[in-house]
Amino acid sequence: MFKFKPVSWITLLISLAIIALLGCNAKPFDYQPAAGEMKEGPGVFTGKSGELNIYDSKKGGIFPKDSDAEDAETSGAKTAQTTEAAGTAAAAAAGSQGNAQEFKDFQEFQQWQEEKAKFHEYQQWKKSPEGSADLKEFQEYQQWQKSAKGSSDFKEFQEYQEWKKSGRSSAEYKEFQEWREFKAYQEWKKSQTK
Amino acid sequence: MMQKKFKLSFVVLALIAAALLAVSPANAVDFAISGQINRAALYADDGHTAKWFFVDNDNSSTRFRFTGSNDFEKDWKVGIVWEVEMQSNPSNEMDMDLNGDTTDVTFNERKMEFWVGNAWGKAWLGQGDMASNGTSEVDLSGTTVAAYSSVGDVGGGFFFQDNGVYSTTTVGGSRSNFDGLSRKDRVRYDTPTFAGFSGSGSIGNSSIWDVALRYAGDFGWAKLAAAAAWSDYGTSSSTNDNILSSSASLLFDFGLNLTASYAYRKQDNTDPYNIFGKVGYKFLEKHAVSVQYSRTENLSAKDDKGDTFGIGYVFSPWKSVEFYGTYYIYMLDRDAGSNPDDINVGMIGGRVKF
Repeated sequence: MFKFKPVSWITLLISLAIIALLGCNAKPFDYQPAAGEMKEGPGVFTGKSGELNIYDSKKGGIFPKDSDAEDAETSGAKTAQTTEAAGTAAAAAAGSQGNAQEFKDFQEFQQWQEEKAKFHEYQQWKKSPEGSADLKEFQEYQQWQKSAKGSSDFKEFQEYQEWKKSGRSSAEYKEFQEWREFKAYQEWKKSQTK
Repeated sequence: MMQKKFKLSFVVLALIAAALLAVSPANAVDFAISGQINRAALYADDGHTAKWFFVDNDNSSTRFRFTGSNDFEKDWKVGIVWEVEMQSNPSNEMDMDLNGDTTDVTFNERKMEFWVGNAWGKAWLGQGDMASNGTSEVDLSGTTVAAYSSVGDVGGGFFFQDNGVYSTTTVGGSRSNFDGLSRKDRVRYDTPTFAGFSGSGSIGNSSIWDVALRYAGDFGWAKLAAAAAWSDYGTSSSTNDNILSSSASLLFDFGLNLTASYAYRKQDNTDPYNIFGKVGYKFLEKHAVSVQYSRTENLSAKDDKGDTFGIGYVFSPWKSVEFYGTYYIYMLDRDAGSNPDDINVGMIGGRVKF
């Protein structure tokens, strides 16, 4: 009935490639072959990840290594002790100086300590192709936020900038800043899924 | 020449392994298991006999998989994939003479490989996808579990008949999407992705080799994925020389999607080729439907035309569960002799990931 010569299809493919190149705004996305392959995404028993984690050095798993489990317990206990001691000190500081802002910051710091593991996951995600594409979109959103002067978000951002100048320049503080970015990203992600 | 290439490949891998031993111990390790069950009821009517079959949908067979990876310093990563399928009554092996079930179920190897990667790409060694595998099957329709370019995966084992006289030609023997070199024991390299483009190449036993180029880009209003490959049979076949395989799929934000595929095999005397087109629509988040048409020419015999019309529908009530329906009409237009009756196949089933 009809016959396509290979040349015609090569031309078509080249045309598609040109279209792709012309689409400078195109963001790479992680295409996962579906035909013939195993279904991507969540599993009935394995939840969101779609995999039963036999072992994960970060998240644990059904059979975490003994040494890691011990490490996790030890570090958990240490964190609790640190948090308790720091909390007392912070309350004293809050009482003696009456610095509500300082105390608020410290509470955020405590939250960061609790969510450290999730934050490390976020750092890994940022390195992935999908993560880097999403992050780029998020950064564009942040740019847009900056331009929306007068909004409550922008005021908060300015307050944060002021607070940042208060002399905290440790490596831990840097990580804390990144964590705030992570929190903002989570909020944005939630708003995207609604 | 090819032996030299093999030697070179193994030297490169040995160097990579040595480099891994030299770097610091692992930072992060994970090991996971996943799998799926994909079962269906299939009804086939070849114009003379009609029968029900209970099958394992070969579009995406029942299987399980172990994966693991290990992060090292300086962005080095090493991982393993071990994927095994286990099919009782594969949908592409049913025929009207079958009484009861097919013979004992066995494990079939799909992937048994490890990979080593960093910012410069990824090298694979073991049984796994050749670079060209999947290049005729790029598809964003969301209906691949029901129907896609490899139309023989559903009713490939049925024989065509004319007035009750069965021919020796099957559905699978008269059509193919010529999807490169499938899965083999090989060494493979994938480049990193540059502006959505990535390249890969692999070499396997009997001097088979292939190269592939892939693209995946999101334009905001649509997503485009495409792939093309050149495969060489080396000394593995006395009749087949090489394959050009390609496919592309465009998915608009509002759900409409268009998919096309073309593949051509250089083969003694016949040079078969396949064209495939599909129009689909994704709607209400949980539904996807598609209509497709394909033609393979010169495969069962010179100037034979194996046409296939297909409809696929997939309903995903939950992310881990899909129910689907498939309808295929397999036609064969013979150059010599009368044309056999069409074979109609309908299939309904479900795929559950666990």
